[in-house]
Amino acid sequence: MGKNIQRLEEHLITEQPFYLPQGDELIIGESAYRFKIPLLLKGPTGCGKTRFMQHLAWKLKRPLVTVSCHDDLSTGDLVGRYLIKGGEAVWVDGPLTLAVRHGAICYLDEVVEARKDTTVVIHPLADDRRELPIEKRGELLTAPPEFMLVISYNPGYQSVLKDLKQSTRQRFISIEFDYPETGLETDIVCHESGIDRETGVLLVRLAGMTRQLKDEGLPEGASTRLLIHAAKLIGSGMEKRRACRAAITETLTDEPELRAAVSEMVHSLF
Amino acid sequence: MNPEELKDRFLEILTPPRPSDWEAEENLAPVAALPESRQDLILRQVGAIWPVSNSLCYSYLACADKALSCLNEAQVSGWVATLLDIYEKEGLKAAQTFMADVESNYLCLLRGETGVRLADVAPRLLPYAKSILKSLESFEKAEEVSTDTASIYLPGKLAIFAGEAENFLLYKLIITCQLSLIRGGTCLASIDPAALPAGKLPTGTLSASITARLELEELWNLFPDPRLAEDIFTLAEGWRVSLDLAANFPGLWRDCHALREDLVKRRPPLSAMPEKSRVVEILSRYLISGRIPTGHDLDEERLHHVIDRFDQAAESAAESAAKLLALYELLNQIRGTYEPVEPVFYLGRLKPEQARRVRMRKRAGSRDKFIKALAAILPDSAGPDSGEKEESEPGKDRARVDSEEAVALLINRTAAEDKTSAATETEEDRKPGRHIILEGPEVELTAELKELSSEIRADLGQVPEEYISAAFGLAGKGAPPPAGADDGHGAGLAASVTYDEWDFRRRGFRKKWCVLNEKRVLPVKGTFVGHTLEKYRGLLIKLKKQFEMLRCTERLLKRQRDGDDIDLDAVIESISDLRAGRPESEKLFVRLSRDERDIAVLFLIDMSASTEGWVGDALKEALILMGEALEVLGDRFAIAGFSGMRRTRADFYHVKDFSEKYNEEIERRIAGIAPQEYTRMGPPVRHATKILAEAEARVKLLIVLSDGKPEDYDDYKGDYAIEDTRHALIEAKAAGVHPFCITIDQQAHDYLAHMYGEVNYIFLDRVSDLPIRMPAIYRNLTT
Ligand SMILES: Nc1ncnc2c1ncn2[C@@H]1O[C@H](COP(=O)(O)OP(=O)(O)OP(=O)(O)O)[C@@H](O)[C@H]1O
Ligand SMILES: [Mg+2]
Repeated sequence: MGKNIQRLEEHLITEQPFYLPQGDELIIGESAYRFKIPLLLKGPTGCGKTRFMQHLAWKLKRPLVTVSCHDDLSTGDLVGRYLIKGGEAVWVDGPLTLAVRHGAICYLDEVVEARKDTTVVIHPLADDRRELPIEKRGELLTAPPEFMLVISYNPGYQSVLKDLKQSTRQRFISIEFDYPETGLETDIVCHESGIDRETGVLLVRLAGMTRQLKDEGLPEGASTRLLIHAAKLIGSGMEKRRACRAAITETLTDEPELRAAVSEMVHSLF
Repeated sequence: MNPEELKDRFLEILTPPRPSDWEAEENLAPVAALPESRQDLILRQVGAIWPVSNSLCYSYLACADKALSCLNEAQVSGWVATLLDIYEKEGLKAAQTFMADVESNYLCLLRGETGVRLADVAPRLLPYAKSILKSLESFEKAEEVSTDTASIYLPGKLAIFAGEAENFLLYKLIITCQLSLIRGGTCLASIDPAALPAGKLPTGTLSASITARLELEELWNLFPDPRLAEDIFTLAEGWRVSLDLAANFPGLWRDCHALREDLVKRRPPLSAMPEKSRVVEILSRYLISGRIPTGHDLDEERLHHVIDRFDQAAESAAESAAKLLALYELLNQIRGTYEPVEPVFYLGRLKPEQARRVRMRKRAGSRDKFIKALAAILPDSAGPDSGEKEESEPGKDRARVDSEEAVALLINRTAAEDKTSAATETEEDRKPGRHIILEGPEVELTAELKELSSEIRADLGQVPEEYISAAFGLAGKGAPPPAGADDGHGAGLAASVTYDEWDFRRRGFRKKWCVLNEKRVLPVKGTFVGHTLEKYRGLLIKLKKQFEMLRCTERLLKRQRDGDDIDLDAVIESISDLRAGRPESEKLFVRLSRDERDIAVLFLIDMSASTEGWVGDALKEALILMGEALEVLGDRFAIAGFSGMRRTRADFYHVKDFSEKYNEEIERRIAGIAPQEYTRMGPPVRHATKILAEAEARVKLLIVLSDGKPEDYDDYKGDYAIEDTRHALIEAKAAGVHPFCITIDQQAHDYLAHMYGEVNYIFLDRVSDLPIRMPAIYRNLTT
C-alpha cells in the first residue's frame, strides 16, 4: 500500500502550472469538485484542456492521474490486474482504481478513442453511487469525496463511429473550450515560449487566418499548441518562415492547394 | 454545306458511340452558318477531339469560329494539341477557358511570352484572401485593378516581369492591397462635410454649408478638376493601405520591395508631363517605393510642402479627404492643366459606385430574407393555410398580431433592448445566437429574424416600416393550391405514406400532415456516365485504391478462446489468478480479425428545381464516383432523390435500393436524376430514416445532399422549414441513424449549423469540388 501512495505522490503537482482562464471554467471546475460531479471537457485540439486540468489539480491540491485513451485500452488497464512477483500473485491497481482509492483526480483524455465496453466501467463511478467494482478481487470501492473523474473529447472529429453515448455523457458537467481570444492567446504564446510580443501577435493573427478556412476544407485551424511550437523554434533562432512551415503549414494539412494558401499567409506575415 | 450535309460529314468523322441526329444538329448550330472553308477547317480537328471527350468536342464547336479567327491554318493543329493537353491535365473547365481566349492563352505562349494566369494562382490565393476577409466572394478578370467589396477585379494574366515568381507576387500584392481597401472602409466611405477643415472648398462653397454626407464622387466633384481630386484622394487612401500592409503584412511588404522598385522604373518618364501631373506622378512613385525621384525640375520647396502634407498620418477616409483639401490647394498654385497619371498598378482606381451597388444587392438580399422570415412567423390567420386551422390546438395561446404597428413596435423594442443589454450579455448570448428567442407579447422573433434585423439596423439604422408591411402582405396573400399538377417524371410505386410534420410554433406535430409518394427514377441512356468515368479516370483509380484499403480494418483480438497466437498478457494474468486462488481464464489467445464493415448508407439527393445545371451535374457525377468506390468497399448503399410540391405531394424517388446490385441500370437511373420542383426536406428524411431503420447494419448513415434552404410552395419556408428539417434529423438520430448533410451554396448561412447540428454537416461553395470531396467526406465519416 505504501508503494501505491508513493506512486500517487508523483502525480501531485506542487508548482503552479501557468494557466490563464478564458472565462469561468475554474469556478465550474471547482464547483463540480465540491458537488462530486464528474467533468466533461470539450474542445478542439491544443486549446488548453490538459493545461486546465493540471492547474485545477494544483489548485485543489489533488494528484492528477492522466490516462490517454486508445482503442486497445482494456478494462484491466484502467482497473488493475494480478501480476506475478517472485512467484507470488500480486494485485496491482490500475490508474483509475489508484485514483479512487486515494482520492485523486483521474483524467481520461480523448475518451471517445476507447472502446465502448471499456467506457462503461466508469458508469457507476460517474453517477451518485460513485462506486468502482473490482470484479477480479470481488471488491467494491466507494470513492472518497476527494476523488474526481474528468474526461475530455474533441467534438470536431466527424466519424460517426466515435461518438460519446448519451448514457455516458449525461453523467457529466461540461465545459466547452475554444481557442483563447486574441489578447489572451498572445499572452499565452509569449509566456510559454518567451518570444517577443510583436512576433506573438503575428503568430496569433496567422492562427486566426487559418481558422477562417473551415469552409475551404481545413477542418481545424492552427491550435494554440502549434503557435507555441512555432514560437519556440523562432526563439531558438530559426528563421521565422522556416519555423512556421515546420510547426504550422506542414502540420496542418497535406492538401497541396490549402498548404500553398497557408504558406502564402505565413509569407505575408513574416 | 447545308445543315444536312454538315451533320452527315460530322457523324462520319465520329467514332462510336455516336450522338443522335438531333444532338448532332444542336451542337453543330454554331458552325452551320459559316463559310464552307471555315467549316472544313473546324471539322478537320473533330476527329482528334471527339475520342478524347465528347463534351470537349461540343465546347470546341461552340467557340471554334471565334478562336480560329486569330489563328492561321498552320497554327490550328498545334492549338488543338495544346487544348487536348490542358483537358487531360486540368479538365473540361480549364480547356474551355483556354479556348475562350486564344490571344492571351495561346498566341502569347507561342510568342514566347511567359507570365502567370489568374486561373492558375486562384486556387491558392482565393483561400488566402478568404482567410483575411471571409466575405470575399471571388476574383474576376478585368483589365484594370479594382474591387466592389464582393469581388476583386484583376488581370486574367500578368506578364509584366520576366520571372514567374515576381508576377505571382504582384497578384498577391494586388489582392492584399484591395482587401486592405475593403477592410479600411475606403470603398463605401462617405464623407461628413462637418469633419472637413472649416474653410472654403476650391469651388467657393463653404464646407459648412453642405449638410448631407458626401459620396466619394460628390466629394471629387466639388473640385474644379474632379479627376485630379480623385487621383489625390486615391493616393491618400493608398498611403493608408501602404501603412496597413507594412504594419500588418510585414513579410509581404518586404518581399515586394524589389518588385515595387521595379514598378517605379516602368512608369512613364517625368519629363513629358505637365507640371501638375509631374507632382502627382512623384506622389505615386513615393507611394510605391517610399522614395522621391530626382530630376523632376520642380520647385523644391513647394514639393517639400506637398510631400510633408502627404506624409501626415490619416486614420480614416475622412482624414484622407482633409488631406485632399490641403494638397489640392497646394497643387492649385501650379499653373497648367492636369493630365491623369497612370494609376498605381496594384491600387487601381476606386469604384465607389460599384461598391454601393454590391451594398444594394446585399441590402436587397437581406430585405427579402427579412420579409420572408417575418411572414413565416406571422400567425396563420394571415397565412396561406388559413383553411386548415382546425389542425392547431384551439386552447393553446397562438401568436396573434393585430396590426403592423405592434410588430414594428416589437422589433424596435428589441433593438432598444439589444443596446441596453449589450454590456451585460453573457458568453452564451454573444455567440452568434441561434437559440435566443425573444418573447414578445404576441409574436416570437426567431434567431434568424433577430440576426437579420440587427444586420439591417447596422446598415440602415433601423428596420424600415416598409419591410414589415411587405411581410404582412406576403403572409396574407396565400396562394390557393394548384389543381393536381401532374409530373410525368418517374414511375409511381407503392401506395403513398403519410408523415407528421413538426410545427415549432406549437412545439408539436401536425399529424399525418404530408403525403409521400414513392417513385422510381426512369433510367436514361446517354453519354453522361461514360463522360463522368472518363473525366475522373485518374481520381477513380486513386479512390478505388483508398477504398480498398478501408475494406477491412485488421485488428488483433485479445483474450480469445482460440486463435493464431498466445496472448501473453492473458496467460500471465491467468497464472496470477490461479496462484491467487481465483478461477483462471481460458481465453488465452489472440486472433487477427478482419473487421467486417457493417455499414449501411443511404444517399438522399435534393432534386428541387434549383439544382438545375451545374449543381445537378456535379451531384450526379459525385454519385457515380461514390457508386464505383462503394462497390469496391462493399458497404451497402442506397440512393434516393426527393422533391415535390405542397404537403400533399412529397415525392421520394428510388434510384438504388439496398437490395439492388450496382450496375449499368443503376448508373442510367443516376443519369436520369433531374431537377423537379420544391424542397420539402422533412418527409423524405423521415422516409429515409424508416428505410434505414429497417436495414440491418451496425452503423446506419444518412447522407443528405442539398443546395440551400428547404422550401416548398406553401408555407414550408423560413424558420418553419428549418425547424421541421432539424426535427426530422433529430428523429433520425433517435432511430439510431447518423445523419450527415452536404450543402452546396454560394455562401455559408448561419442557419446551417442550427438546422443540421454543428458537426453533422459540411458546406461547399464550389460545386466542382463535390465529386472530389464527397468520397473524402465519406471516408472520414466511416473510419
Ligand atoms: N488558457 C491557457 N493558459 C495557459 N496555457 C495555455 C492555455 N491554453 C493553451 N495553453 C497552452 O497550449 C498548449 C496546448 O494545450 P493543451 O495541451 O492543454 O491542449 P489540449 O486541449 O489538451 O489538446 P488535446 O485535445 O490535443 O489534448 C499548452 O501546453 C499550453 O502551453
Ligand atoms: Mg490534451
